[in-house]
Amino acid sequence: MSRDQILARIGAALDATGSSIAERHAGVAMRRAAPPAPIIPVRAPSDINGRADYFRARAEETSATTDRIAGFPGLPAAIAAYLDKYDRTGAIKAQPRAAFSDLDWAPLRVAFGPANDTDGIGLVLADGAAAETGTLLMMSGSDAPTALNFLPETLIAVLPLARLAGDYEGAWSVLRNASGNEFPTRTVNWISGPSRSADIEQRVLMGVHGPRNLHIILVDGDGA
Amino acid sequence: MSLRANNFPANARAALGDTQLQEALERLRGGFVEGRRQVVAKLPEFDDLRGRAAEIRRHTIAHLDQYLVQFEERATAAGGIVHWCRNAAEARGAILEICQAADARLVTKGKSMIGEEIEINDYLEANGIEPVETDLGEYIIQLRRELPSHIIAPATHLSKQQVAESFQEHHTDLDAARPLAEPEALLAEARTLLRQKFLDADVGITGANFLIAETGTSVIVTNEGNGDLTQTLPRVHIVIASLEKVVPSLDDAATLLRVLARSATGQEISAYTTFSTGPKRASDMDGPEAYHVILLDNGRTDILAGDNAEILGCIRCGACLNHCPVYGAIGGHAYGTVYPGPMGSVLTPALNGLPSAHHLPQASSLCGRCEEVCPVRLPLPKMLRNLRFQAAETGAPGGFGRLLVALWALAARRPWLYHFGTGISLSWLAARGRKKGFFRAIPGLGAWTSRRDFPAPEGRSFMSQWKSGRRS
Repeated sequence: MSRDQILARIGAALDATGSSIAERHAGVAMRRAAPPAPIIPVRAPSDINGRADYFRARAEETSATTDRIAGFPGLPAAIAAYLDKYDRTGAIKAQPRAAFSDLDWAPLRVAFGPANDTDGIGLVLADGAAAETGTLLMMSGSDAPTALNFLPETLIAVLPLARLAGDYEGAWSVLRNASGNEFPTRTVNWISGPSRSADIEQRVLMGVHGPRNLHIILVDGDGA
Repeated sequence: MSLRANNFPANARAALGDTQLQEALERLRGGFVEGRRQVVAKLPEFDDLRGRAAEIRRHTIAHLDQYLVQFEERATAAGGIVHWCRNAAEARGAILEICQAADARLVTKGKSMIGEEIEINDYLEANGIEPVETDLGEYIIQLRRELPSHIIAPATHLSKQQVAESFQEHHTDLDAARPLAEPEALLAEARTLLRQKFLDADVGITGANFLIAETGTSVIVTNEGNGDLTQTLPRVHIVIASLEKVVPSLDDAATLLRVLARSATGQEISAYTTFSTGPKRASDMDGPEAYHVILLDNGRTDILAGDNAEILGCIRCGACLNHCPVYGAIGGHAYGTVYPGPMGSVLTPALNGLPSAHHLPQASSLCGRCEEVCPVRLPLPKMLRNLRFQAAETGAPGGFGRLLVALWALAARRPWLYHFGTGISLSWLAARGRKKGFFRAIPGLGAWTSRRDFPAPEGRSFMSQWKSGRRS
């Protein structure tokens, strides 16, 4: 009842501007069939190395740290080096992804599964990324718990370079291609830097509710 | 929403004399205004994007019924439940029903201006459900039982000492002697305390920056990640959004996101932008079992039928507040409304009726900075003028101002009287102010001259100089 009343009131208000419901229907269909071409900022270079460099620079501006390695076999060593450099210790909770489970993790302690409040370090695989603002895209799924992106104090995200787009529109296509009919999944997180707040006296502080530290490791190739 | 907008003149006077508030407003200028300037300078396409963003919002509002029905279809197909609510009471009722069906005791909340508008926290509390705000700023003002003073930085009027006092007063389980002087300590305390609330909550309520018709998706933008824990950990996720939040497609949302954070906080993009479509899928590892969207009218269809329908294009970035000389002088609370500043001065009278908020459209110098910085190019000064016309036509209170305008109109229609009057007053002012060239005080205009000097006129009007042949 409220639904019909609200729609009737909207319809009457729009009719009074000289449009009709048939015209509005046609207007929407027309725009969907031929949407205006997006205005995409000219930012990241189109070659993959230039794009990777641009992504890293933008991500570091958001206070993330970054690294780049040649392939997945080098991932455990790269993570160990990162944790060592910042003196971060403890077990790692990783998404149960095939790309992670096949690796030789010793001596790091890595568990696979859903996120818990006690997880200090999270390890996740990015489904896509947009270089324009150093943004990662993460889809929820059977091997990707959303809470793992937020609960740990330190989040390590692995980004296969083949999934790095220049801009948001490109990043959406990477996700659509990867997930087909499942797109969009329940949750798609765009992550640009660690959690932050300036709510107290406009001073920017990191790690309010989500991770205090975000480390992004770019891996050459498609990785997955 | 509770309105104290009729106290605006007294509130504004008090705010001008509040030194602590004035310091807080100074910080806002340094933070958001300078931040916006810098990121806009780094994006040559910014103005083109604003034009496109404005086009997207105009197109959507002109086809609002179509896009809302499309959103409902897609959200329902994804397993969501859409509730259409005509007013605040219906929205509160729908939310309470969902909470009770879920047997909820504790509800966490992401930041939502619609939540403020329908005063959902008071209502849940009155019905035995504990609502906890999880955005740091919202949490602070919830403890203090205040309205937000800014639509994106709700506690921006407070000092760290005031926050520390509130934490001391309310977190009585903790050692009273703990150090709370620094923002880092306050943040750590709030993080620990709210983390437990996230884990214990039965229902999570968030707002929506956008609803996407193409996919039936709701979007939230945060920097803290609080909205994400709110909508991921509890069994039920409720989105509350007003009708005009809808946009056609994911690509349109991307365009709007390119201008939103830059205009709001001066960031290229906020830390977290999250797209939610339906509840968790059967094979998902986490996420809520139920996903509800409250679509709230609460006056929007009236606005759509009125002179100021363009205000429905607003994306709530707060840039017009940050750049407004009036907001910058008095802060948000003086407005006595949920939505302060230029957009609020247009929205509040439209939502609540002009008689209860007739001071607000006057609270502007119409300098135009709000329109200059608006990411969707809303003609805010024009809309404020529309409301001033309406106030004049409907005889809204404001007796002294009306008398002055009537006197001016009387003279303006009679040139001989006008020239006679200006001749007398100019020569009087010139004689009094000739020595210094300005006045420090003018009888009857004390409020104006207390903060600025009034330039003294030269002695004769342009018309009389023209007549006497002095033309250079």
